[in-house]
Amino acid sequence: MKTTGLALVDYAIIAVYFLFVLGVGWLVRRSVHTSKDFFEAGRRTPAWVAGLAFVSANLGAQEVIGMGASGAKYGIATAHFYWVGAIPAMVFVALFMMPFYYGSRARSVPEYLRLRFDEKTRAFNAGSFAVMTVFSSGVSMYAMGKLFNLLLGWDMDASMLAAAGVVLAYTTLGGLTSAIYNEVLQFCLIVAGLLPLVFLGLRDVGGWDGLTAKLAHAATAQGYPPGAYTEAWRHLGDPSQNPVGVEWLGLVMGLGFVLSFGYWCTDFLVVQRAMAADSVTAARRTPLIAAVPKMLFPALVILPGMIAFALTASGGALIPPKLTAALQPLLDAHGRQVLDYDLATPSMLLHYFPNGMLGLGLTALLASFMSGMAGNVTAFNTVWTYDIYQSYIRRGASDAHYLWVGRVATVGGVLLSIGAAYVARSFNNIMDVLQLVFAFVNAPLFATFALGMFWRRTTGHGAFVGLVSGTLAAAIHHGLTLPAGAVLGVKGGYFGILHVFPSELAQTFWTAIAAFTTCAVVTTLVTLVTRPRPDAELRGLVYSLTPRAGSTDAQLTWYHRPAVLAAFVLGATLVLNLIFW
Amino acid sequence: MPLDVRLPISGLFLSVGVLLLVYGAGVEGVGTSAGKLNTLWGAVMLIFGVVLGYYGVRTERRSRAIAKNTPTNPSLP
Repeated sequence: MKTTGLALVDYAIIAVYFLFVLGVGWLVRRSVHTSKDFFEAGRRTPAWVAGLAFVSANLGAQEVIGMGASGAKYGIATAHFYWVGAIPAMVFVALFMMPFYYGSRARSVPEYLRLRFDEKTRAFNAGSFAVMTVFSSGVSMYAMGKLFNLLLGWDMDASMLAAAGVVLAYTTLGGLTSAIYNEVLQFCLIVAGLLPLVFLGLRDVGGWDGLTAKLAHAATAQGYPPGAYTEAWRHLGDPSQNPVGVEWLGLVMGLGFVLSFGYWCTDFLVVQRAMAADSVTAARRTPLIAAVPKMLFPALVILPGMIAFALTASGGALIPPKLTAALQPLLDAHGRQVLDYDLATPSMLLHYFPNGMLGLGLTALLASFMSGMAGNVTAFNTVWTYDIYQSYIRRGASDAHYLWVGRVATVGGVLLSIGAAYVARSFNNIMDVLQLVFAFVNAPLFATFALGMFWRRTTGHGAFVGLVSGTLAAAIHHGLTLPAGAVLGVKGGYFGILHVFPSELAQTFWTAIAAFTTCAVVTTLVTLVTRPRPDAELRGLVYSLTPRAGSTDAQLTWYHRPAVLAAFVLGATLVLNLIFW
Repeated sequence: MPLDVRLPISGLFLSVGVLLLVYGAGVEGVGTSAGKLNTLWGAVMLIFGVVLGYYGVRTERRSRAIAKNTPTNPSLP
């Protein structure tokens, strides 16, 4: 891997970025007077700003680095995480779920669960969500420190603490408003930093046709059909014929339905941005506006990884090999070097960008880490203050007190994230563990939400027992299966091996399906033997007892109507799938 | 919203654009490939910053004018 020293201009660009994000926090702090301003951005955010923040909060380290790595490893099939695993769920949350979230006046997703079900269901979700956000933020911070240490030799502790300090400063000053402003700014910067990389890389490999030809050689060398890295659907009939190792049913049901809907429809990290919008119509438009850049992101984050792999496979040695503890290249079962795919996108930056542009590219990476971290921290401080502190520790205090608690929780959240980053340091595969925890927690939660919103008989006891059962089912399924080539332990098989999946992703998809199905069945059975709440208590919380937005939508200009936007987004996504079929 | 979000983005793009332009054209020289890339992308960022700033300032002025003409404590008839 090429190494490049930074010049003064690179440091100047990074410094200017830090100055601007801190300046935004400083300016925004004047408008934060109440807890609603701090936790909900005063519910006065325009739809387009909330939409870009919605997509940017999700554009963290795992996205930019992780999707580049997956692009290098799996090729264009990684785009399924967007076209199958994000867009349909974003349309669903916009059209069907935002009216409940926004209209119920709940301040968080756990609070909606209390309104719809009961206290214990809220407590279960608030607790698991708080732990997940802290870990997610910590892992992101650790990944950032490790990356800058590997690339530039920067001290890992210093880079982690500097980025955490800046995020802490602007989120403590301006709360969610400050995070949203900076997420929009970071979104623009990430696009500006990565777009030239895609142009330069594509030009170098001879455009899409050149890339296809190079990857065809790489595919056949590994025993796949020539189009395995550049055709998204054609080889999904047989898991052994595509690098992802999944068949279309597992992909559509596991990723496209359970995992995707579980994340986009119930994860407060993203839902919070839409709930900050200035009206229910704006809240419904927020995920749809976010879906437009989201469907185009594969070009920005996956293509660099594919180009890096194509160049490496044709002898360019762009992606370095993974190293063993003895600093020797790691070899797979066939004696081939295992590449360190996480370095695919960063290696591209070092390869193509001269000083100046390199500073911009590194700032884009920093921005992605910081937007993801700020998203986690602002979601954490809200859930901690509203759903844990105000509910179980101190009720009935003044608004100023809760505002103060929110600021303290922000400091606490950042400190816990730093602690989690050091915990992550002692594990080799903490990212895998984290992904699995998401599958355990989010997949059953979607069944709870779907039943709760669309079947008004669903009871609190049913929801709670279903959630716990779904999580246990995920653990049992994972404990009885193993991905091919993996060893017993965190990868599964700890209860015995009933089935071996062709890949880790296939195992995760089916674990999520097991969790969702169990939660749905158990919730239904327990609901049938427990007493439902009267309809009067469920108005505005379930679909059948909530007025439709159709009459309000009819007064909007046609291109502002959520249904029209949704049709456009779904149509465009379908076209993209067909182009890269 | 406390201020138009386009303004800080505009400021950042203008600043980074100027840095890239000056470094590319002044230090490296547009004759080199590195200088050409920095100059070109610096110019793109600068133009984006100017356009965003124009719309941001225009919206901010309009909001201030509306706020100025709206009575904060209207007297009851």
